[in-house]
Amino acid sequence: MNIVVSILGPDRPGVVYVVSAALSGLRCNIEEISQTILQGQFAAIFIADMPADVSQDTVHSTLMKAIAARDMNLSVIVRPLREDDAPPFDGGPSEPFVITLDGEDRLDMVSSFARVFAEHKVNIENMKALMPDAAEPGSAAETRPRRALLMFEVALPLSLDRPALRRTLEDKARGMGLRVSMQHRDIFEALHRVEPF
Amino acid sequence: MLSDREVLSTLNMLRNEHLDVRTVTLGISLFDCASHDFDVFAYKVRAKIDRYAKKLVDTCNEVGDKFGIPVVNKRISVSPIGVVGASFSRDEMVRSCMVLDEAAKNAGVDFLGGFGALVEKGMTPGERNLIDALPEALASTDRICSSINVASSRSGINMDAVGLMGQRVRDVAEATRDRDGLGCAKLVIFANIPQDVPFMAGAYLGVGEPDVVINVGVSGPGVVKKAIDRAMRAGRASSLGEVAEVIKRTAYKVTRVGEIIGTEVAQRLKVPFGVADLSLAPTPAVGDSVGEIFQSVGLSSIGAPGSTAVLAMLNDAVKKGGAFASSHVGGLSGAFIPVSEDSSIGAATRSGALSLEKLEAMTSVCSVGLDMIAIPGDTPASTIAAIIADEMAIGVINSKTTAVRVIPVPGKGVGDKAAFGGLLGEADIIPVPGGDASAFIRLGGRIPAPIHSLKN
Repeated sequence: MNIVVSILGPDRPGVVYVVSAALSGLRCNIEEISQTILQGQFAAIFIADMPADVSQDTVHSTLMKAIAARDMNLSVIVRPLREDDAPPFDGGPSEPFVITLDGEDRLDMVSSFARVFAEHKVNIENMKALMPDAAEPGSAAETRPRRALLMFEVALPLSLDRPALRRTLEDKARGMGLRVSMQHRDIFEALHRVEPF
Repeated sequence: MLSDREVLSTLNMLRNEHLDVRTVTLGISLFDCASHDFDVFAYKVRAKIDRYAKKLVDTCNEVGDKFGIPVVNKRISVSPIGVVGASFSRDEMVRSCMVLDEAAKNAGVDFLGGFGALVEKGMTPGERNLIDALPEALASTDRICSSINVASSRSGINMDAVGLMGQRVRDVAEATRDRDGLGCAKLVIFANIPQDVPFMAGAYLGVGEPDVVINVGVSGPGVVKKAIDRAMRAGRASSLGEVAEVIKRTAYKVTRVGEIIGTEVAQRLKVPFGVADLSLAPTPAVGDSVGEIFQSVGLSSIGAPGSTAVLAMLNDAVKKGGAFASSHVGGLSGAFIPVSEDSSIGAATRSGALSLEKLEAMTSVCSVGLDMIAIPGDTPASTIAAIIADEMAIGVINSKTTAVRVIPVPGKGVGDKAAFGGLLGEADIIPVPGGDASAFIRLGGRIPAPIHSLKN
C-alpha cells in the first residue's frame, strides 16, 4: 500500500535523514520525494510503499519518536496515497504555460488569480511568490510599498479558449494595478536550457 | 520546474530589452505565375500570394501570443521579378509592381520584397526594363522593395549595371522628391545577395528555394546591449574576450526565440521553415540601437577609432552564438548599421564622429553595407555609381554580402535633415567625398572575378 508522508517545520541538517531512516526501519520503500525550503521552513512530501503488516499509525508514531529524539520541531501527517481508489485529477490534454503577475503586493493577489484559474478549470502545477526587491526589516526602504512577483506554472486544457483567459487575466490585473504575462513554457526552456533531442 | 532566474530573466528581456522576433517573412515563388500575357500573370500572382499569405499575419500574431514574444514585422518575399517577368516591357514592369503592392496590402504585410534583378554578369532585356521601371514603380507603390545584385565573388562586378544604378538611384530619388527621396529607401544594390534574406529592403526568394518557405529575422540589438551592460556592472565582462562571450550567449538566446516562433508559424501554415537570419537590426527607438553597443564597450560613439574592431567582434560573436542555436542559419546574419534607422548611428553622423568613409570601412566587417545614408541631392550619378563600385569591391574580394542603400535627397544638402517616417527613421545629410569618377564609370564593362573565385 502506498502512503503519503508530509513533513513540515524549521529546517536543519539531518531532517531528511531522520525521516528516511525511520521509514526504511519500518521497511517502507520510498518511491518519490519532493522537498522545498521557504524562509527557513522545510516542507517535504514522501511517497512510500508500506508493507501490509505495518499501519499508518505505526509510521506516524515512529516518525514522531525519531524526530523528538533529535530534538527537532516537525509536524508529520501520514495518509494513504489513494483513499477511495479515486484516480488522480486529470484535466485532459493540456499545454504547459507560465503565468506571472507583478506589482505592488496585495492581500488578495494570490486568491484573486487562483480563483480565475479554478473557474477556468486550470490546474496550478507549481507556483512561487517572490519579493524581488525585499528590503531589510527596520531599514528606511522597508516603508516603501512592497513589490511582489507571482509565478504560476499551469496546465491549460487544449479545450480552453486561451485568448479569452488572457483577456480575463489582463482585465483583472489592470483593475488591481498589476502586470500579467502568459507564455508557453517552451519559450523559457528554449531561452535558457540546452538539451539534446 | 523553472527556476526564478529563468522566469525573471525572460520577463526582463521582454519588458526592458526589446526582445522580439524582428520579422517573419513568407517567401513565395512566382515562377509558376510567369506568362507572356500580363493579365494571366497578374491573376496568378494575386491568387498565389492570397492563397499562402492570407493567414500569415494572424498566424504570426497567434504564435507571438502563445509565447509572449511579439513578431514585429510580417513580410513577403517573392522570386526576382526580373526573371519571372522576363518578357515584360518597362510599362508592364511598373504594372507588375502595382500588382504586388496590392497583394501586399491585401495580405496586411508592411513590405514585400523581390521586385529585383540579378545582373552581376549581364542583363536580359526584361531585367533592363525592370531597372528602367524603378523610378515610376517605386514612386507609385507603397510597400514594394527592390534589390539589384550587380556583383558577385564568382562573376566579378558588372560595371555597366553599376553605372546604370548610379543614375537610377538619382531617378528614383527625383520621382519621390516630395517625400525626401523615399523611393531610394526601398532600393538596395547588392554584391553576393543571399537568396533567403528575410529583412527588407533586400528580401527576395532565390531560384534554388522552395515553392513557399518561412524565413525569420531574430531580435534586435537592444537585448545584446543590455546584456553587456549587466555583465559589466556585475564584473563578469571585464575584458573583450568576456564581452564577446556575453554577446555570443545572448545571440544564442535570441536565435532560439526566432527559431521556435518561425518553426511554429511554418508548421501552422504547412510550409517548410527556411532559415533564421542572425542579423541585429536596429530601430529608431532608443535602447534598440547597434550604435549604443559601441558605447557600452568604451568608445565615445560609433565612428571613433576602434569602431571597426568592435563591429568585427560583435558580428563574429553573433554568428557563433546563433549558429549553435539554429541548424539553419542564413540571410545576411551579422550586424546592420543603417544610419537613419539607428538613433545612435544617426547622432554620430550628426556630430561628425561618423563619416561616409568610416562607414565604408566598417562595412568590410559587417553584414550589409552603406545603409540608409542620406547624401546631398545634387550628388552626381557617377559619384553614386563609384560609391556602389567601391562597396561591391569589398564584397567581391572578401566573399561576403555588401550593399548600398543611399538616398540623394532632392533639393537638400549637407546639414539638412531627411525624414522617411516609421521604421525608416530620419537622417542628417552627410557629405560625400570630393573627386570625379565619371570617366571611370563611363568605361563600363566588367571587373573580373577575383582569383579566389576559382575554387573548383
